[in-house]
Formats: sequence, C-alpha cells, structure tokens
Amino acid sequence: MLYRFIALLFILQGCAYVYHTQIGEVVSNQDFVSIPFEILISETGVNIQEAGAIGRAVIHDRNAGNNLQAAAAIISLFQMGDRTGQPVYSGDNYADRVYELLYEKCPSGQISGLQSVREMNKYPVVSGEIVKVRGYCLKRKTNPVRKKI
Amino acid sequence: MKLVISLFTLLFIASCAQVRSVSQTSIPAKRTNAVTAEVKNNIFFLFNFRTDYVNDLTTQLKNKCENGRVEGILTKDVIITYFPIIYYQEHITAEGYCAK
Repeated sequence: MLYRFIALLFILQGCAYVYHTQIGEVVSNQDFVSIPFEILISETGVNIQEAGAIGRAVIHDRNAGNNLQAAAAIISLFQMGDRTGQPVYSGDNYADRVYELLYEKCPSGQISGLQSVREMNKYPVVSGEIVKVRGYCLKRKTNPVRKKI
Repeated sequence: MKLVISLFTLLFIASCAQVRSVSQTSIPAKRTNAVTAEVKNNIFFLFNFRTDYVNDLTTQLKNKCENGRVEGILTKDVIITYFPIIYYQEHITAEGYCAK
C-alpha cells in the first residue's frame, strides 16, 4: 500500500521542462522604443504508460491492472523514437501558427531579441506541449512636432 | 557491502553534461567585441516548476551592448547532473558579437 502511495505521489507531481532555447539578434537603439510581446502556443500531450501505471495502481483486480499496463506498453511501442515532450494527437502542425501570430504582434517586422523556447508543463498523464516566442517589437520614436510661432 | 558502497560512491561522483540544444545566428564580419550572457537553474530531486529563468538572457545581452546590435549569437542549452536524482543544473549560455 505504501509503495502504491509513493508511486502515485511521483506520478502525480507536476513539473516544467525546457527542451530548446534560441535567441535571435538583439538590437539596442535609442531611436527606437522596444515593446515586449509574448506568443504561447500549446497542445495537450498524453503519456499512455503513465495512464496505464495509474490504472494498475487504482484497479484492485490484479489481472485487469496487468492487462491495462500491457495494453499501454503495446501502444507506446508505436510511439518510439526521439522526441521532445509527450506525443500529441492533433498532428505535428500546431506550432505552424507562430509566423502569423508574430506578424499580428509586430506588423512592422522590426523585431529584436526574438527568443524561441520549446517547453513542457507536465501534469498527471497529460502535459502542456508549449512553444513560447518572446521578443521586442521596435517602433521608431516620434519627435514632438514643433509649433510654428 | 564494500562493493555496494563503491558502486554508490561511483554513481554519486559521476557528474555528466548533456547538450540539449545549440543554435547559431549569422556571424558578422567584424568580430571584435564579444558579449556573453548566461542563466542557471538548479533542480533538486527532479522537481522543477519554472522556465522563466530563460527570459533574462535577452536582457543581459541588451545591457551589455547598449546602443548596438548583438549578432552571431550562439545559444547553448546544457543540463549537468551533479548527483543523480538529487541535484541537476540547467545552464543556458548565449555568446555573440556587439556591433556598433
């Protein structure tokens, strides 16, 4: 019983992971105002093995629990290979919107310190597979118009 | 018993580094004024709840190259295992050249 409790405690922990960080050119110019922006794109990832382990710990029937975990193991065999985070079921193009969102945030296209981060927020069984883009949109300072006397 | 103790000692003194990602922007012709920025995040017992420590990199580079442009930035993301399970450190560095 104690082992089950400890196992559940470890499985139920929430954590944050950073997988990739990239920084673009940084411009610091007094003629421009830097306006910070942030874009977050998230998709739900699912950990089948974790779901199987929780099911096994919760279900009292040992055979049913073992069968559930075996099914989870078979499914996870189809998800083998290098990856960051956990598999998502909505396809691989959820992050493609970055380009248009970037354009919305900074139509001028003058961006400084563009920072792209691939991260994951992990919860029991599911996870938030996140692509975060931060940066500064540069806008030229407008000089106050002098009134002619 | 000695063998077990030796194995545990070996396990705990084995510090190892893993490069998670590397990226490079285009390198300028004039490469004189190098600037660097780094952030670290300590993880104990595999528990980590923050990723915002990364945000400080851009500010550091900006402060080190006032009124200029940081180009040719090499961003390196490394995780170092000091004591397995007990203590890890995420270490992200950004190196570039300040052009004015």
